[in-house]
Amino acid sequence: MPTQQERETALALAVEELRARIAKRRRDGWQPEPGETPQEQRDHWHNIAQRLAERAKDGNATGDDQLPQLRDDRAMNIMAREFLQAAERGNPQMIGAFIEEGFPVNWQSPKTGETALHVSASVGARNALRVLVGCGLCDFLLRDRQGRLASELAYLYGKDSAVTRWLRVHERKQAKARGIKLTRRPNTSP
Amino acid sequence: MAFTKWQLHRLRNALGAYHDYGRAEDNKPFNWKDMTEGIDYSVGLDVLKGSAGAARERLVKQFSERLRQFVEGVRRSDGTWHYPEPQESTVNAIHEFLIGEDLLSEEELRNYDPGPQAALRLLEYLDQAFDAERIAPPSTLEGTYRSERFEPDDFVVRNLTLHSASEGGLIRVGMTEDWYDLLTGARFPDLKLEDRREARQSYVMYAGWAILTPENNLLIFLKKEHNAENCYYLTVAAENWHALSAPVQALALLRHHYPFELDNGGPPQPAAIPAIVEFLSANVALFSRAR
Repeated sequence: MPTQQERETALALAVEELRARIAKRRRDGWQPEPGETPQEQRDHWHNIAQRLAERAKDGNATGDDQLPQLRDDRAMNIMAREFLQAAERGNPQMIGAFIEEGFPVNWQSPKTGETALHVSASVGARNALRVLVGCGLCDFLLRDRQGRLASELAYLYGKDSAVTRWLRVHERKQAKARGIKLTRRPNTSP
Repeated sequence: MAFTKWQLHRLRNALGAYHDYGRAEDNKPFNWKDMTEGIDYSVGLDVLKGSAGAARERLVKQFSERLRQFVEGVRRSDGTWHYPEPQESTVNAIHEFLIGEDLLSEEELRNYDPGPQAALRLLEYLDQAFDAERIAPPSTLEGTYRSERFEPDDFVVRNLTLHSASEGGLIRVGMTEDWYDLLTGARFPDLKLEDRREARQSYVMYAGWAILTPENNLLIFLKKEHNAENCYYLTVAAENWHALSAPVQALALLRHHYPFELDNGGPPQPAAIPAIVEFLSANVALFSRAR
Protein backbone atom coordinates (compact mmCIF):
# COMPACT_ATOMS: atom_id res chain seq x y z
CA MET A 1 0.00 0.00 0.00
CA PRO A 2 1.68 3.28 -1.07
CA THR A 3 2.06 6.02 1.54
CA GLN A 4 0.48 9.48 1.13
CA GLN A 5 3.87 10.89 0.17
CA GLU A 6 4.45 8.16 -2.42
CA ARG A 7 1.04 8.86 -3.93
CA GLU A 8 1.79 12.60 -4.12
CA THR A 9 5.16 11.93 -5.75
CA ALA A 10 3.56 9.60 -8.31
CA LEU A 11 0.92 12.21 -9.11
CA ALA A 12 3.50 14.99 -9.49
CA LEU A 13 5.47 12.73 -11.84
CA ALA A 14 2.32 11.98 -13.86
CA VAL A 15 1.59 15.72 -14.21
CA GLU A 16 5.16 16.38 -15.33
CA GLU A 17 4.92 13.59 -17.92
CA LEU A 18 1.58 14.91 -19.15
CA ARG A 19 3.09 18.36 -19.52
CA ALA A 20 6.01 16.93 -21.53
CA ARG A 21 3.68 14.93 -23.80
CA ILE A 22 1.53 18.02 -24.48
CA ALA A 23 4.65 20.10 -25.17
CA LYS A 24 5.73 17.49 -27.74
CA ARG A 25 2.31 17.57 -29.40
CA ARG A 26 2.59 21.35 -29.59
CA ARG A 27 5.98 21.06 -31.32
CA ASP A 28 4.39 18.60 -33.78
CA GLY A 29 1.58 21.07 -34.59
CA TRP A 30 -0.96 18.96 -32.62
CA GLN A 31 -0.67 16.11 -35.13
CA PRO A 32 -1.68 13.38 -35.77
CA GLU A 33 -5.42 13.99 -35.93
CA PRO A 34 -8.08 11.34 -35.35
CA GLY A 35 -9.31 9.64 -38.54
CA GLU A 36 -11.61 11.29 -41.03
CA THR A 37 -14.62 8.97 -41.13
CA PRO A 38 -16.93 8.53 -38.12
CA GLN A 39 -15.85 4.87 -37.87
CA GLU A 40 -12.16 5.80 -37.89
CA GLN A 41 -12.82 8.39 -35.19
CA ARG A 42 -14.77 5.92 -33.06
CA ASP A 43 -11.90 3.38 -33.35
CA HIS A 44 -9.42 6.12 -32.53
CA TRP A 45 -11.18 7.18 -29.33
CA HIS A 46 -11.74 3.55 -28.36
CA ASN A 47 -7.99 2.96 -28.58
CA ILE A 48 -7.29 6.15 -26.63
CA ALA A 49 -9.70 5.08 -23.87
CA GLN A 50 -7.85 1.75 -23.62
CA ARG A 51 -4.48 3.49 -23.50
CA LEU A 52 -5.65 5.87 -20.75
CA ALA A 53 -7.11 2.98 -18.76
CA GLU A 54 -3.81 1.08 -18.97
CA ARG A 55 -1.93 4.17 -17.86
CA ALA A 56 -4.30 4.55 -14.91
CA LYS A 57 -3.79 0.88 -13.98
CA ASP A 58 -0.05 1.52 -13.83
CA GLY A 59 -0.68 4.35 -11.38
CA ASN A 60 0.40 6.98 -13.89
CA ALA A 61 -2.81 8.91 -14.40
CA THR A 62 -3.96 12.46 -14.58
CA GLY A 63 -7.51 11.62 -15.64
CA ASP A 64 -10.93 12.41 -14.22
CA ASP A 65 -10.48 9.97 -11.31
CA GLN A 66 -7.66 12.10 -9.95
CA LEU A 67 -9.48 15.45 -10.33
CA PRO A 68 -9.79 16.24 -6.59
CA GLN A 69 -6.02 15.81 -6.12
CA LEU A 70 -5.14 17.65 -9.32
CA ARG A 71 -7.18 20.80 -8.69
CA ASP A 72 -4.49 22.48 -6.59
CA ASP A 73 -1.58 21.57 -8.82
CA ARG A 74 -0.06 24.68 -10.40
CA ALA A 75 1.11 22.98 -13.62
CA MET A 76 -2.32 21.39 -14.07
CA ASN A 77 -4.00 24.77 -13.65
CA ILE A 78 -1.77 26.31 -16.32
CA MET A 79 -2.55 23.42 -18.70
CA ALA A 80 -6.25 23.71 -17.81
CA ARG A 81 -6.31 27.36 -18.78
CA GLU A 82 -4.81 26.43 -22.14
CA PHE A 83 -7.30 23.59 -22.57
CA LEU A 84 -10.30 25.81 -21.83
CA GLN A 85 -8.82 28.50 -24.07
CA ALA A 86 -8.59 25.96 -26.91
CA ALA A 87 -12.24 25.09 -26.25
CA GLU A 88 -13.14 28.78 -26.47
CA ARG A 89 -11.17 29.25 -29.66
CA GLY A 90 -12.83 26.12 -31.04
CA ASN A 91 -9.51 24.49 -31.92
CA PRO A 92 -10.40 20.79 -32.42
CA GLN A 93 -6.81 19.57 -33.00
CA MET A 94 -5.56 21.09 -29.79
CA ILE A 95 -8.48 19.81 -27.73
CA GLY A 96 -8.08 16.34 -29.24
CA ALA A 97 -4.35 16.29 -28.45
CA PHE A 98 -4.89 17.31 -24.80
CA ILE A 99 -7.48 14.56 -24.31
CA GLU A 100 -5.36 11.95 -26.10
CA GLU A 101 -2.41 12.72 -23.86
CA GLY A 102 -4.54 12.23 -20.77
CA PHE A 103 -5.70 15.69 -19.75
CA PRO A 104 -8.97 15.31 -17.77
CA VAL A 105 -11.69 16.32 -20.22
CA ASN A 106 -14.11 17.17 -17.39
CA TRP A 107 -11.82 19.71 -15.72
CA GLN A 108 -13.92 22.58 -14.34
CA SER A 109 -12.67 26.14 -14.15
CA PRO A 110 -12.29 26.91 -10.44
CA LYS A 111 -13.69 30.38 -11.09
CA THR A 112 -16.70 29.72 -13.29
CA GLY A 113 -17.25 25.97 -12.96
CA GLU A 114 -17.27 25.67 -16.75
CA THR A 115 -15.93 22.56 -18.49
CA ALA A 116 -14.55 22.58 -22.04
CA LEU A 117 -18.01 21.39 -23.12
CA HIS A 118 -19.65 24.47 -21.54
CA VAL A 119 -17.12 26.79 -23.12
CA SER A 120 -17.33 25.35 -26.65
CA ALA A 121 -21.13 25.30 -26.43
CA SER A 122 -21.15 29.01 -25.48
CA VAL A 123 -19.13 30.14 -28.47
CA GLY A 124 -20.71 28.10 -31.27
CA ALA A 125 -17.61 25.91 -31.65
CA ARG A 126 -19.21 22.98 -33.46
CA ASN A 127 -15.97 21.25 -34.53
CA ALA A 128 -14.57 21.42 -31.02
CA LEU A 129 -17.84 20.01 -29.66
CA ARG A 130 -17.62 17.11 -32.12
CA VAL A 131 -14.25 16.15 -30.63
CA LEU A 132 -15.45 16.58 -27.03
CA VAL A 133 -18.60 14.55 -27.58
CA GLY A 134 -16.82 12.06 -29.89
CA CYS A 135 -14.14 11.17 -27.33
CA GLY A 136 -16.84 9.56 -25.20
CA LEU A 137 -15.38 10.85 -21.92
CA CYS A 138 -17.53 13.92 -21.30
CA ASP A 139 -19.77 14.23 -18.29
CA PHE A 140 -22.78 16.03 -19.78
CA LEU A 141 -24.40 16.51 -16.39
CA LEU A 142 -21.76 18.79 -14.91
CA ARG A 143 -23.03 22.28 -14.17
CA ASP A 144 -21.21 25.60 -14.05
CA ARG A 145 -21.27 27.86 -10.99
CA GLN A 146 -24.70 29.14 -12.06
CA GLY A 147 -26.13 25.63 -12.24
CA ARG A 148 -26.21 25.60 -16.04
CA LEU A 149 -25.69 22.57 -18.26
CA ALA A 150 -23.71 22.95 -21.49
CA SER A 151 -26.91 22.75 -23.58
CA GLU A 152 -28.26 25.90 -21.92
CA LEU A 153 -25.15 27.83 -22.90
CA ALA A 154 -25.41 26.50 -26.46
CA TYR A 155 -28.88 28.03 -26.61
CA LEU A 156 -28.31 31.30 -24.76
CA TYR A 157 -24.88 32.29 -26.09
CA GLY A 158 -24.01 29.85 -28.90
CA LYS A 159 -27.49 30.61 -30.31
CA ASP A 160 -27.48 27.15 -31.87
CA SER A 161 -30.76 25.24 -31.48
CA ALA A 162 -29.42 22.14 -33.24
CA VAL A 163 -26.42 21.85 -30.90
CA THR A 164 -28.73 22.48 -27.94
CA ARG A 165 -30.94 19.55 -28.94
CA TRP A 166 -27.90 17.36 -29.64
CA LEU A 167 -26.40 18.04 -26.21
CA ARG A 168 -29.75 17.50 -24.52
CA VAL A 169 -29.96 14.05 -26.14
CA HIS A 170 -26.61 13.18 -24.55
CA GLU A 171 -27.66 14.69 -21.22
CA ARG A 172 -30.86 12.60 -21.21
CA LYS A 173 -28.97 9.43 -22.11
CA GLN A 174 -26.42 9.94 -19.35
CA ALA A 175 -29.07 10.88 -16.80
CA LYS A 176 -31.07 7.76 -17.67
CA ALA A 177 -27.98 5.56 -17.38
CA ARG A 178 -27.26 7.00 -13.93
CA GLY A 179 -30.89 6.92 -12.83
CA ILE A 180 -31.01 10.71 -12.41
CA LYS A 181 -34.10 12.84 -13.01
CA LEU A 182 -32.86 15.58 -15.28
CA THR A 183 -33.92 19.19 -14.69
CA ARG A 184 -32.79 22.52 -16.11
CA ARG A 185 -31.56 23.59 -12.68
CA PRO A 186 -30.39 21.28 -9.91
CA ASN A 187 -33.07 20.34 -7.37
CA THR A 188 -36.03 21.82 -9.17
CA SER A 189 -39.01 20.28 -10.87
CA PRO A 190 -38.45 19.60 -14.61
CA MET B 1 -45.62 43.08 -19.55
CA ALA B 2 -43.15 43.80 -22.35
CA PHE B 3 -40.12 41.54 -22.58
CA THR B 4 -36.77 42.43 -24.09
CA LYS B 5 -35.21 40.19 -26.77
CA TRP B 6 -32.78 38.95 -24.14
CA GLN B 7 -35.61 37.99 -21.78
CA LEU B 8 -37.55 36.29 -24.57
CA HIS B 9 -34.46 34.21 -25.29
CA ARG B 10 -34.42 33.03 -21.68
CA LEU B 11 -38.13 32.19 -21.80
CA ARG B 12 -37.48 30.14 -24.94
CA ASN B 13 -34.60 28.30 -23.33
CA ALA B 14 -36.57 27.38 -20.20
CA LEU B 15 -39.51 26.22 -22.30
CA GLY B 16 -37.19 24.16 -24.52
CA ALA B 17 -35.57 22.51 -21.49
CA TYR B 18 -39.00 21.64 -20.08
CA HIS B 19 -39.94 20.12 -23.44
CA ASP B 20 -36.71 18.10 -23.67
CA TYR B 21 -36.27 16.99 -20.06
CA GLY B 22 -39.86 16.68 -18.88
CA ARG B 23 -41.71 13.38 -18.90
CA ALA B 24 -45.43 12.68 -19.16
CA GLU B 25 -47.10 10.17 -16.82
CA ASP B 26 -46.36 7.34 -19.25
CA ASN B 27 -42.67 8.39 -19.05
CA LYS B 28 -42.69 9.54 -22.67
CA PRO B 29 -41.06 12.89 -23.48
CA PHE B 30 -43.39 15.84 -23.88
CA ASN B 31 -44.37 16.90 -27.37
CA TRP B 32 -45.39 20.46 -28.27
CA LYS B 33 -49.07 19.55 -27.98
CA ASP B 34 -48.47 18.41 -24.38
CA MET B 35 -46.73 21.71 -23.75
CA THR B 36 -49.64 23.69 -25.17
CA GLU B 37 -52.15 21.76 -23.07
CA GLY B 38 -49.91 22.21 -20.03
CA ILE B 39 -49.74 25.99 -20.41
CA ASP B 40 -53.48 26.24 -21.08
CA TYR B 41 -54.31 24.03 -18.09
CA SER B 42 -51.96 25.93 -15.81
CA VAL B 43 -52.53 29.58 -16.70
CA GLY B 44 -54.96 29.63 -19.64
CA LEU B 45 -54.27 30.66 -23.21
CA ASP B 46 -56.36 33.41 -24.80
CA VAL B 47 -56.18 31.75 -28.21
CA LEU B 48 -57.90 28.62 -26.88
CA LYS B 49 -60.46 30.39 -24.71
CA GLY B 50 -64.04 29.25 -25.34
CA SER B 51 -63.10 26.67 -28.00
CA ALA B 52 -64.17 23.03 -27.80
CA GLY B 53 -64.21 19.76 -29.74
CA ALA B 54 -62.69 19.64 -33.21
CA ALA B 55 -62.25 23.41 -33.34
CA ARG B 56 -60.16 23.31 -30.18
CA GLU B 57 -58.11 20.39 -31.53
CA ARG B 58 -57.31 22.45 -34.62
CA LEU B 59 -56.35 25.50 -32.55
CA VAL B 60 -54.17 23.39 -30.25
CA LYS B 61 -52.38 21.92 -33.28
CA GLN B 62 -51.78 25.39 -34.74
CA PHE B 63 -50.60 26.83 -31.44
CA SER B 64 -48.29 23.85 -30.79
CA GLU B 65 -46.48 24.53 -34.05
CA ARG B 66 -46.20 28.24 -33.23
CA LEU B 67 -44.84 27.36 -29.80
CA ARG B 68 -42.24 25.05 -31.38
CA GLN B 69 -41.21 27.81 -33.80
CA PHE B 70 -40.97 30.27 -30.92
CA VAL B 71 -38.49 27.97 -29.15
CA GLU B 72 -36.63 26.27 -32.00
CA GLY B 73 -36.86 29.03 -34.58
CA VAL B 74 -37.51 28.89 -38.30
CA ARG B 75 -34.68 28.50 -40.75
CA ARG B 76 -34.56 31.17 -43.45
CA SER B 77 -33.51 30.40 -47.02
CA ASP B 78 -30.10 32.04 -46.39
CA GLY B 79 -29.42 29.58 -43.54
CA THR B 80 -29.96 32.03 -40.69
CA TRP B 81 -32.61 31.48 -38.01
CA HIS B 82 -35.64 33.58 -37.25
CA TYR B 83 -37.52 33.32 -33.95
CA PRO B 84 -41.15 34.41 -34.38
CA GLU B 85 -42.55 36.34 -31.45
CA PRO B 86 -46.06 35.42 -30.29
CA GLN B 87 -48.55 38.08 -29.27
CA GLU B 88 -48.08 39.74 -25.89
CA SER B 89 -50.84 37.79 -24.10
CA THR B 90 -49.23 34.49 -25.16
CA VAL B 91 -45.77 35.56 -23.99
CA ASN B 92 -47.31 36.65 -20.69
CA ALA B 93 -48.95 33.24 -20.34
CA ILE B 94 -45.65 31.46 -21.09
CA HIS B 95 -43.89 33.63 -18.52
CA GLU B 96 -46.56 32.99 -15.89
CA PHE B 97 -46.43 29.26 -16.59
CA LEU B 98 -42.62 29.04 -16.31
CA ILE B 99 -42.51 31.04 -13.10
CA GLY B 100 -45.52 29.27 -11.60
CA GLU B 101 -44.11 25.83 -12.32
CA ASP B 102 -40.71 26.83 -10.91
CA LEU B 103 -39.04 26.34 -14.28
CA LEU B 104 -37.53 29.80 -14.33
CA SER B 105 -36.89 32.42 -11.69
CA GLU B 106 -37.58 36.14 -11.97
CA GLU B 107 -33.94 36.64 -11.02
CA GLU B 108 -32.83 34.89 -14.23
CA LEU B 109 -34.81 37.46 -16.20
CA ARG B 110 -32.80 40.30 -14.71
CA ASN B 111 -29.64 40.82 -16.74
CA TYR B 112 -26.48 41.38 -14.71
CA ASP B 113 -25.63 44.97 -15.51
CA PRO B 114 -23.18 46.65 -13.13
CA GLY B 115 -24.22 50.11 -14.34
CA PRO B 116 -21.98 53.08 -15.08
CA GLN B 117 -21.33 54.20 -11.47
CA ALA B 118 -17.96 52.45 -11.09
CA ALA B 119 -16.68 53.91 -14.36
CA LEU B 120 -17.86 57.40 -13.45
CA ARG B 121 -16.16 57.17 -10.06
CA LEU B 122 -12.94 56.17 -11.79
CA LEU B 123 -13.23 59.21 -14.08
CA GLU B 124 -13.81 61.37 -11.05
CA TYR B 125 -10.68 59.97 -9.41
CA LEU B 126 -8.62 60.58 -12.56
CA ASP B 127 -9.72 64.23 -12.82
CA GLN B 128 -7.04 66.71 -11.78
CA ALA B 129 -7.70 69.38 -9.20
CA PHE B 130 -6.76 72.18 -11.61
CA ASP B 131 -9.15 70.99 -14.35
CA ALA B 132 -11.97 73.48 -14.76
CA GLU B 133 -14.01 70.82 -16.50
CA ARG B 134 -13.57 67.26 -17.67
CA ILE B 135 -12.55 66.99 -21.32
CA ALA B 136 -14.93 64.55 -22.97
CA PRO B 137 -13.62 61.89 -25.35
CA PRO B 138 -13.71 63.32 -28.90
CA SER B 139 -16.46 62.08 -31.18
CA THR B 140 -13.75 61.19 -33.71
CA LEU B 141 -13.07 58.07 -31.61
CA GLU B 142 -16.52 56.64 -32.28
CA GLY B 143 -16.74 53.72 -34.68
CA THR B 144 -15.65 50.13 -35.28
CA TYR B 145 -12.01 49.10 -35.36
CA ARG B 146 -10.70 45.80 -36.63
CA SER B 147 -7.64 43.74 -35.80
CA GLU B 148 -6.58 40.58 -37.63
CA ARG B 149 -3.74 38.59 -36.17
CA PHE B 150 -2.06 35.21 -36.01
CA GLU B 151 -1.76 33.60 -32.59
CA PRO B 152 0.51 30.54 -32.14
CA ASP B 153 -2.32 28.07 -32.88
CA ASP B 154 -5.13 30.15 -34.39
CA PHE B 155 -6.05 33.24 -36.38
CA VAL B 156 -8.33 35.84 -34.78
CA VAL B 157 -10.35 38.76 -36.08
CA ARG B 158 -11.47 41.28 -33.46
CA ASN B 159 -14.08 43.96 -34.09
CA LEU B 160 -14.09 46.63 -31.42
CA THR B 161 -16.95 49.14 -31.41
CA LEU B 162 -16.74 52.39 -29.46
CA HIS B 163 -20.11 54.11 -29.10
CA SER B 164 -20.54 57.82 -28.59
CA ALA B 165 -19.44 59.05 -25.17
CA SER B 166 -22.01 60.02 -22.54
CA GLU B 167 -22.01 63.50 -21.08
CA GLY B 168 -19.91 62.26 -18.16
CA GLY B 169 -17.31 60.84 -20.54
CA LEU B 170 -18.25 57.17 -20.48
CA ILE B 171 -17.98 55.17 -23.73
CA ARG B 172 -20.00 51.97 -24.17
CA VAL B 173 -17.94 49.26 -25.89
CA GLY B 174 -18.72 45.99 -27.64
CA MET B 175 -16.26 43.52 -29.10
CA THR B 176 -16.53 40.29 -31.08
CA GLU B 177 -13.75 37.78 -31.58
CA ASP B 178 -13.95 35.38 -34.52
CA TRP B 179 -11.51 32.48 -34.36
CA TYR B 180 -10.20 30.56 -37.38
CA ASP B 181 -7.52 27.96 -38.01
CA LEU B 182 -4.10 29.06 -39.28
CA LEU B 183 -4.74 27.85 -42.82
CA THR B 184 -7.93 29.93 -43.08
CA GLY B 185 -6.00 32.87 -41.64
CA ALA B 186 -3.40 32.61 -44.40
CA ARG B 187 -6.02 32.92 -47.16
CA PHE B 188 -8.42 35.14 -45.18
CA PRO B 189 -8.27 38.22 -47.46
CA ASP B 190 -9.30 36.11 -50.47
CA LEU B 191 -12.28 34.45 -48.76
CA LYS B 192 -15.88 35.53 -49.34
CA LEU B 193 -18.05 36.39 -46.33
CA GLU B 194 -19.95 33.08 -46.44
CA ASP B 195 -16.69 31.10 -46.70
CA ARG B 196 -15.37 32.93 -43.67
CA ARG B 197 -18.55 32.16 -41.75
CA GLU B 198 -18.28 28.51 -42.77
CA ALA B 199 -14.62 28.31 -41.69
CA ARG B 200 -15.12 30.09 -38.37
CA GLN B 201 -14.15 27.91 -35.39
CA SER B 202 -15.91 29.99 -32.74
CA TYR B 203 -17.01 33.48 -31.81
CA VAL B 204 -16.76 35.22 -28.47
CA MET B 205 -18.78 38.31 -27.52
CA TYR B 206 -17.67 40.98 -25.08
CA ALA B 207 -19.37 44.07 -23.68
CA GLY B 208 -18.14 46.80 -21.39
CA TRP B 209 -17.04 50.42 -21.26
CA ALA B 210 -14.09 52.69 -21.85
CA ILE B 211 -12.82 55.98 -20.49
CA LEU B 212 -10.26 58.44 -21.75
CA THR B 213 -7.88 59.58 -19.03
CA PRO B 214 -6.51 63.17 -18.90
CA GLU B 215 -3.25 61.63 -20.22
CA ASN B 216 -5.01 60.58 -23.44
CA ASN B 217 -4.99 56.93 -22.44
CA LEU B 218 -8.05 55.04 -23.63
CA LEU B 219 -8.76 52.34 -21.02
CA ILE B 220 -11.20 49.62 -22.00
CA PHE B 221 -12.84 47.18 -19.57
CA LEU B 222 -14.65 44.25 -21.14
CA LYS B 223 -16.52 41.19 -19.89
CA LYS B 224 -17.12 38.01 -21.85
CA GLU B 225 -20.85 37.62 -22.26
CA HIS B 226 -21.04 33.91 -21.48
CA ASN B 227 -19.00 33.77 -18.26
CA ALA B 228 -18.32 37.41 -17.26
CA GLU B 229 -14.55 36.87 -17.40
CA ASN B 230 -12.73 40.22 -17.51
CA CYS B 231 -10.33 41.52 -20.13
CA TYR B 232 -8.68 44.94 -20.35
CA TYR B 233 -7.14 47.06 -23.05
CA LEU B 234 -4.97 50.10 -22.57
CA THR B 235 -3.48 52.46 -25.09
CA VAL B 236 0.22 52.06 -25.87
CA ALA B 237 0.56 54.57 -28.72
CA ALA B 238 -1.67 57.41 -29.84
CA GLU B 239 -1.75 60.66 -31.74
CA ASN B 240 -3.43 63.70 -30.16
CA TRP B 241 -7.04 62.61 -30.65
CA HIS B 242 -8.43 65.92 -29.35
CA ALA B 243 -6.69 67.81 -32.16
CA LEU B 244 -8.10 65.63 -34.95
CA SER B 245 -11.01 66.79 -37.05
CA ALA B 246 -11.21 63.55 -39.07
CA PRO B 247 -12.16 60.17 -37.52
CA VAL B 248 -9.37 58.37 -35.66
CA GLN B 249 -7.90 55.79 -38.04
CA ALA B 250 -6.16 53.35 -35.71
CA LEU B 251 -5.74 52.33 -32.08
CA ALA B 252 -2.60 50.67 -30.70
CA LEU B 253 -3.75 48.71 -27.67
CA LEU B 254 -2.26 46.32 -25.15
CA ARG B 255 -4.58 43.45 -24.32
CA HIS B 256 -4.39 42.17 -20.78
CA HIS B 257 -6.22 39.15 -19.46
CA TYR B 258 -4.24 36.86 -17.14
CA PRO B 259 -0.77 37.84 -15.90
CA PHE B 260 2.21 36.01 -17.36
CA GLU B 261 2.84 32.69 -15.60
CA LEU B 262 6.41 32.41 -14.38
CA ASP B 263 8.03 29.01 -14.85
CA ASN B 264 9.22 28.58 -11.28
CA GLY B 265 5.96 29.74 -9.71
CA GLY B 266 7.91 32.04 -7.38
CA PRO B 267 8.25 35.83 -7.28
CA PRO B 268 9.40 37.56 -10.51
CA GLN B 269 13.20 37.67 -10.87
CA PRO B 270 15.27 39.96 -13.15
CA ALA B 271 16.04 36.94 -15.35
CA ALA B 272 12.32 36.66 -16.16
CA ILE B 273 12.09 40.18 -17.64
CA PRO B 274 12.87 39.18 -21.27
CA ALA B 275 10.11 36.54 -21.20
CA ILE B 276 7.67 39.07 -19.69
CA VAL B 277 8.54 41.64 -22.36
CA GLU B 278 8.02 39.02 -25.07
CA PHE B 279 4.63 38.15 -23.52
CA LEU B 280 3.62 41.83 -23.49
CA SER B 281 4.72 42.52 -27.05
CA ALA B 282 2.69 39.51 -28.24
CA ASN B 283 -0.36 41.20 -26.73
CA VAL B 284 0.01 44.54 -28.50
CA ALA B 285 -2.55 44.82 -31.28
CA LEU B 286 -3.22 47.44 -33.91
CA PHE B 287 -6.90 48.07 -34.52
CA SER B 288 -7.65 49.86 -37.80
CA ARG B 289 -10.89 51.69 -38.47
CA ALA B 290 -13.40 49.46 -40.25
CA ARG B 291 -16.45 51.75 -40.07
